[in-house]
Amino acid sequence: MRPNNPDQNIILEARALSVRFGGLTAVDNLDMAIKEHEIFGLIGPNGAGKTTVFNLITQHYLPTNGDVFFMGESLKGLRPDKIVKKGICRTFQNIRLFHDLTVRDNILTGMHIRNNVNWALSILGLGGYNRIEKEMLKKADELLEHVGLLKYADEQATSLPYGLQRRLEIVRALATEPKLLLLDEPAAGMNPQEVTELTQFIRDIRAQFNITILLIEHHMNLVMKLCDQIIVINYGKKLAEGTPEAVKTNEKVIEAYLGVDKDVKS
Amino acid sequence: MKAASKQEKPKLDQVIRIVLVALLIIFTFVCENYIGEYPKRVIMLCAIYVIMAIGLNIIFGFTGMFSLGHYGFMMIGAYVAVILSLPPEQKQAIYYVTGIEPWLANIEVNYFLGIIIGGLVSALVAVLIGFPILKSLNDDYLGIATLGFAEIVRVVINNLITITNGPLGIKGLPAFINIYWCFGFAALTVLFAVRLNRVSTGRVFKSIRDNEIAAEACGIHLVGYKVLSFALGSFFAGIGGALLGYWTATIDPKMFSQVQNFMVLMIIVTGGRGNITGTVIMSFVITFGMEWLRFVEEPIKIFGMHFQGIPGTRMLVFSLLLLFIILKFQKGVFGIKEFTVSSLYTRPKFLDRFIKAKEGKSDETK
Amino acid sequence: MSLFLQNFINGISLGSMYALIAIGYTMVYGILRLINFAHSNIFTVGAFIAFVFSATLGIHWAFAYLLAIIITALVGRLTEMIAYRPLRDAPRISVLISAIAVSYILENLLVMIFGGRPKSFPRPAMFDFVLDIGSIRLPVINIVIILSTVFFLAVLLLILYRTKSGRAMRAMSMDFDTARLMGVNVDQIVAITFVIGSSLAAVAGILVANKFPQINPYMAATYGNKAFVAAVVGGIGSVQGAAIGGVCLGLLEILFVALFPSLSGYRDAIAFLALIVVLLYKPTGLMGAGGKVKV
Repeated sequence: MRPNNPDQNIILEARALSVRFGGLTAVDNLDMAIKEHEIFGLIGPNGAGKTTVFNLITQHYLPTNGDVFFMGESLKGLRPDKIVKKGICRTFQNIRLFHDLTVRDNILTGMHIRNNVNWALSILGLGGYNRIEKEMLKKADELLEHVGLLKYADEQATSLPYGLQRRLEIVRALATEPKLLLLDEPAAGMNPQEVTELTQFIRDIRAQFNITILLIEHHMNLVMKLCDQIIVINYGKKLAEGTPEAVKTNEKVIEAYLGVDKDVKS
Repeated sequence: MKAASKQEKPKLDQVIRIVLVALLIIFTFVCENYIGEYPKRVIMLCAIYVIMAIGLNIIFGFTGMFSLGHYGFMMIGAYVAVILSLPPEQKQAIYYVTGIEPWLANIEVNYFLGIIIGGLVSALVAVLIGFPILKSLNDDYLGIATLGFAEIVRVVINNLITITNGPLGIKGLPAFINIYWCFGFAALTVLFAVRLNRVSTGRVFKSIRDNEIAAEACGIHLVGYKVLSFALGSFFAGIGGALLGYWTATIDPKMFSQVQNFMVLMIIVTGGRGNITGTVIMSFVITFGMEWLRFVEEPIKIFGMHFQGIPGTRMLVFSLLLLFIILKFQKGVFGIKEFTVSSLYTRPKFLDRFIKAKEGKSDETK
Repeated sequence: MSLFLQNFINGISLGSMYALIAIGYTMVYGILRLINFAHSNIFTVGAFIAFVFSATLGIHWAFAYLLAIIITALVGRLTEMIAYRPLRDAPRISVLISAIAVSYILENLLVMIFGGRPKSFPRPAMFDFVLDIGSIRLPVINIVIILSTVFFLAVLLLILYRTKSGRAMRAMSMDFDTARLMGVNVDQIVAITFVIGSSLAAVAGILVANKFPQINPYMAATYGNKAFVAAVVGGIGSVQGAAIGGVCLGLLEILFVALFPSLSGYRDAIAFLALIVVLLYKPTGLMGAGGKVKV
């Protein structure tokens, strides 16, 4: 059950969020409210507009109507990098790692914005920068150890097996010290064993890093096990919303999926 | 030999570093005083190419911005440095056709300052055109736009006769630069690049190169960092251009063109994008190669037969080489391996296999 | 008025030559997303081969030009096979660098064989005529240029819209991978594209050679860069765009010089200025279709 806890604040809210590309309305009048520390699922058939919603939150696309509010503040028109600084970070459907950098360097890049690095002073070695760099290295290694990736720290990021690459991308997002993490199909391409590990991993990071997670996924197992609340969209419109139980049995949802994923246990 | 124990390593590193620096200083001294005029000039040219190539490496190698307009900034640096440092009497004589702009007529700055200002002006121009261009363009479009910009610079320099003396150029520049000047600037440039490589900003540049959308998703302000990289690289282009101008003892709108562009590009492609070691080494190799190949363009005698030299052969050989390299080694000859002091005494990885095999063998015979 | 007309015709004539070269650029870019830096050198090669056949070997110009076009087309085809095809799946930068290398190879081969000095081109007598209509001097060659361009453009459009290969080319420029999946023989179509583009460049080379009548191995730079600008301005990937872009650029250049004679030294900068402006404000050009990066 979604706890109707009045103490739990709404961290992200979309109100009448819409975007139109030419004649196509990709997202239509979407209302969504995510509470702090929730794991919130965003599901729907292929092409329903889920990633578009992410892009609207990060202001990669400018909403043509409606708005998105993060901790009460409107995000409309903000520069994407400023949005990360405010505390929202996303991962991508197709893993986007820095392929020629090491695993550690990927993490360090994520940490960059939190360290107020002045490029000139840092190159000259002034302004206490050397100390900052050492601390960043320490923190990065701690983070890597925390998630079991320390032994790969010096490897090239793309040399990791697929499942670990996904994990690395998520950890890099964590390095930006977000309050809200947007995961775009983190389980894509994984076998059932990996999905189980990922499920636990996401639960762990929510607890350890005290964050809120918005999740796009097709693996219903993962969605049903993890999410506190789910929203279903189709053709850019909200189809249903509720707890995993409620959504699973919703007729409209079943219809939309038309021969729903066989992972769903009835 | 077993690698030194962990505690001794940093000390060993330091010692080797000091030795290398000392060797470099001795080498510089020897070059300046004990070798012939011609080899000295070639070595100076190598150092100048190091500066220009590292400049482009910061833009292209680190940040992945395909700029074909690097030579435009070399031109700006050269002209600014020379015009500011030219003594007023010489200015009068050189600008004999139209006379020089009155506000420039009496400026005279010392050479070092002139060169630095040349670099700074280049960087400033880079910032000005960088913001609009780098915000929206990538890859091939960026290449063409920067090329277009460099050509515009050339046309402008050709036409502002009261400032630049137009197509006549400025000849008879004082020959004050020597190995110390060239190596000094080159050393500072390399040092800068090495520091940049170790610092968070350098990492950010590389992340933009590898996946700029992901970089932005990490909170990095793309345009800001791209412009920064562009400006830094152009600063060194300006410095290199100024030095090249003095090395040639003359500057004119035609001197910076596709040849420099090509050589710098070649140095970076062969040395490995973003690879400082490769850039330095290949600067020397390619510059020497270009000079050495001059002989194919001169008439030569082999076994008593006269071969008329064919101009254009040098560039042909090098372009064929570039084609070959880009087809075979896409990451450049050195890839992403950099030189570090510890690499001098650490057993290289590929030998491990042989040694393990040997040890395994001796175990079997027991 | 007559002066305007004079300049207008000069502009169209110049623009036509840009257009012919620009078409080659735009076709290759449309399909392969590659700026073929070597294309302008192909144009120069065409002029020189025509020179060899008509001046050095004394062949009648009609045959000389035809042979030149055929051989240049083959050269273009060859460069694709050797320098671009192996890199088809490589990062784009690699192909760009390869194109630059090819460009230098071709240019320097020409310098090596023919020397760096300009050469006088033997223009057939019938192109020497100059018509005087009222106060306008109209060299016949300008008319030939414009008519040739229109003719070849028409032929090209016929190929693109009436033949199977043409359809395949258009499909590939819209969606390379899907076209491949639909059974389009990619290698063959790319080869045809290069052959057509190089032929047109050769025609342009021959026309330019006849116009001045002079050739030099460094012609590529003068025409090539501007032709590429024309392709971008017109909308890269669009043949009609390249043609319009070329003509517009030619007109722009001539009219600029006519209106601001004291600024005529900046003539070459006009093209690049136009390029940068277009790239910044309408990167898809006058007739191009845009595409956003899908995240």
